[in-house]
Amino acid sequence: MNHFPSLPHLPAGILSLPCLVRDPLALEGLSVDGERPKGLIQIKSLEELAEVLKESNKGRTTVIPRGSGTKMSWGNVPRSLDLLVDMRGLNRVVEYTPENLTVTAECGISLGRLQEVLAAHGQFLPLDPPFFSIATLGGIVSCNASGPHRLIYGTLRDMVLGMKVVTADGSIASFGGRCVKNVTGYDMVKGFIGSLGTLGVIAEVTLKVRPLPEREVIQVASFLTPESGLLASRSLLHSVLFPAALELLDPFWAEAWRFQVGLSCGERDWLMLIGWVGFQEDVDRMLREGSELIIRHGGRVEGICEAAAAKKGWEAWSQLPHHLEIDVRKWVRGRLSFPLADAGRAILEWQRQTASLGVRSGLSIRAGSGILFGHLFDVPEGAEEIMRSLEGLREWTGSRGGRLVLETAPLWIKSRMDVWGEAGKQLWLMRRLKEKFDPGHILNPGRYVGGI
Amino acid sequence: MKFSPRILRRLSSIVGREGLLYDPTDLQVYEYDASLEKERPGAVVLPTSREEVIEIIKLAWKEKIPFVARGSGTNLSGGSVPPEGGLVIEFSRMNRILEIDLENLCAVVEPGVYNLELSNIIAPYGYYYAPDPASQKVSTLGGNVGENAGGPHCLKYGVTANHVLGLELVLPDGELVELGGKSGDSPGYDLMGLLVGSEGTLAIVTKIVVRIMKIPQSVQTFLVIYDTIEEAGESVSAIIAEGILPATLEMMDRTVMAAVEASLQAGYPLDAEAVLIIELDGLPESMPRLSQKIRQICQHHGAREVRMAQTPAEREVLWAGRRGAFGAIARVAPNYLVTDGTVPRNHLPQVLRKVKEIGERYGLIIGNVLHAGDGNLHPLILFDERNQEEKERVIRAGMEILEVCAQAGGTISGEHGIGLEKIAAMGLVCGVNELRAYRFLKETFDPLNLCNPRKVLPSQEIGEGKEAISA
Repeated sequence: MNHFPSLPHLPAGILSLPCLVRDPLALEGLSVDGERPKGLIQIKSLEELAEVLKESNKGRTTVIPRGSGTKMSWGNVPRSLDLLVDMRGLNRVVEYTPENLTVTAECGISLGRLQEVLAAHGQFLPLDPPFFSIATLGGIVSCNASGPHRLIYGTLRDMVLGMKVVTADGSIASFGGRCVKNVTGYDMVKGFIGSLGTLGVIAEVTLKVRPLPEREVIQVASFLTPESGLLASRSLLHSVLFPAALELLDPFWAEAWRFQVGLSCGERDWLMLIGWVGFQEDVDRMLREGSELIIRHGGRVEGICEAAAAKKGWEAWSQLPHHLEIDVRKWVRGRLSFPLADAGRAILEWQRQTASLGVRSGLSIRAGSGILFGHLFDVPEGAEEIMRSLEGLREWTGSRGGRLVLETAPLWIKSRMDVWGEAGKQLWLMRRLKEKFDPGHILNPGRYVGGI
Repeated sequence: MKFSPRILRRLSSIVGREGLLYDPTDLQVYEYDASLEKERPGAVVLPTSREEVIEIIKLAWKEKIPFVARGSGTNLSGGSVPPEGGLVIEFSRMNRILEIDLENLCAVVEPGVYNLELSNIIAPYGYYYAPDPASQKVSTLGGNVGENAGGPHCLKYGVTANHVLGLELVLPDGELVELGGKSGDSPGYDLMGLLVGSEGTLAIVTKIVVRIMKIPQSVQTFLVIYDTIEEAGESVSAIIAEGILPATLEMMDRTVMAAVEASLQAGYPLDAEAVLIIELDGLPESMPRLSQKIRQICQHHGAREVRMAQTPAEREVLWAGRRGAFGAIARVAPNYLVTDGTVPRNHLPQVLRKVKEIGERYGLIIGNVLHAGDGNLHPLILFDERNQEEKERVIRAGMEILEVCAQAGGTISGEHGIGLEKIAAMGLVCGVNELRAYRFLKETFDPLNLCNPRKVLPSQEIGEGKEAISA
């Protein structure tokens, strides 16, 4: 308690809110990039949320919404943090119409809980972002998080039909609706997906759901080189088959994943997790022809995870970094995007830039989506060569029209480079949009692209 | 409103004499689109390159001339009707397919490329472009982007917004911006997502990167015949509830079938009340079992007959009838108003009943074509525009249909856009906070309100576009 001799100032409007927590101990663990909040509000209703934002806006109190906290490492260092708003109390399923294949839920609900509700009717939301059990819907939508199955099901921009948001001044607006097609007015929903809560706080989302597939499997293949794995994935992508997910794991991740799922296989190097979903007969054929393709490219089929084992396999993959003993304060997790066909070059570039750093590293490729996730562990503070490598990678991906986004990085790196990279010419359009929606800059200030 | 000789000279120096139209007889062709609205433009320019578009827009910005981009003018809500006395930028000369990049599963096109042309060109390689509006033979991809066009196959594959990977655009001040591209996941606000479906009111698109997809190995098309429209509607819900997601689930009623048969002979039954066109696609392995299931579900819900297309030619005939439906209706009556309401699909049977009641109450003939699987209905209200009293009844009936859709938890446009025609109905689904957000977006891109003014947003939400200067 000695560390907090006096509580920092908050406006009277906020202090009078009944759900305010100011216990320094409770706030201690909730810092965002070292910035400790002055208060925490646990929201229970939409009206409360509107009230909190209205009061915050009046007093220029800065606000960061929070769900389960699985992505609090995202974004630049906040310019200021007065109030943390815990959204997990706003967690009802508002309306679920299985025969319309749509569900409306409040944002604090965990994706795992939502999936349970849908599964009771043989349906699911086809989204598998990191921590897909505990992550909240609001956090997932705000970060536009996705996972391996985006290859077949797409990302949130293909699933969100409508949303209710509270803008900075506390007014409530509904965009889109419950219809799968809707061109009434501008498609504002797209603007809020992935906006990191900087245009408004998303309170409720309506999503397109799907019938659960009859069968779901992971076909596990190993390859001696990444090149052969990528050639196999290319053949799969261009075949008449429909791979649902294509994840290529380097030896580091391959070993960690095998350990988690208890799969023993040969001492081969790279592992590819191929997802297949669909009707029984189709999956039979895709497994059969999939293995022919794997073998033709010099790979070996190591095994097949069916149903519950497939689920377990994907879950293990979605939270694998957290099964390792990682010092999160010294961890860099970067996401490189590039055109599909550049995956091989992306791997070479990553290896070239990180080989001589003398730190442990790991990478995986989302081969059907043109994404490389690169990890550096136990990064020493102030290591200039790491900054140079990240800048080099950023330059390379930029030359392919892509980006390097740092999803996690030590504070000293974040304070020296924009984690999102250059936004280009359109940054001023983004700034202008932000200015209209949140003129007081109270929502997540500084954390978004270009310091928005 | 006429353009001054000085401005005409400037335009001519940008696009050449052959790229500029200002003769009243030429302009007449550009007064209208496929809606009921009309306005006379001041001039039409036909640029051949992005650089020309930039020059045109810089001039328009400097001279405060309102402008609209135009493809083939197939818009059904007045979105491509010109601002009065303004400038039409017509894209028929920017119609090149710039790149077919199979490795990256995408194509790069200019906005004037016809939707179907792209699919035809990549078909020999085994690929296609999924969104397929009924107008796909003539509607341009630029227009499709502007309207976020749908089509029968968007039930399974999504609308235009789900297939656009990148856009190059010219902002109303002439600045060139690139959004998205072959690399996915650009950080920052999804400006590209906001642009698609903005009805040309935010910027002018000059290049589009679209996703292309593999042609499914197997396709099975059914024509299912019903004696009541309710049974057809219930079958739609039942199929979805069974966990089958067909590529298409289309419905047509008796009035529309009669018109189609009179002009196209698609083999639709004339004595039935409704038909469904159901298409499954995917791998051939599951096809027999799914076909059997579709047959069972339809029969269980009262289908009189389930026909299956046996050859690609038979399939083509079934689809030609559906795609030609709007055109065929023109044989029955000189004019029609097409509405575009969308409702949660489980409300379809109830909404169709109400549409029928509305038709009876107003003494009007209404034909129905529906993207039933999407809950998107297109009641076609037939009339003769020379009968002014009838036209007014039609507009009132159309409005009432939109009200019914809004009350059922739906919306007033599924794929045709708001344009001019549905602005009055915006209040049915938007409140002040929503309209304010739309205005924020419009002002972010187009602070002078030059870019397709008077569309989408009710006029009290935004200052009127300045008229062309004739000095």
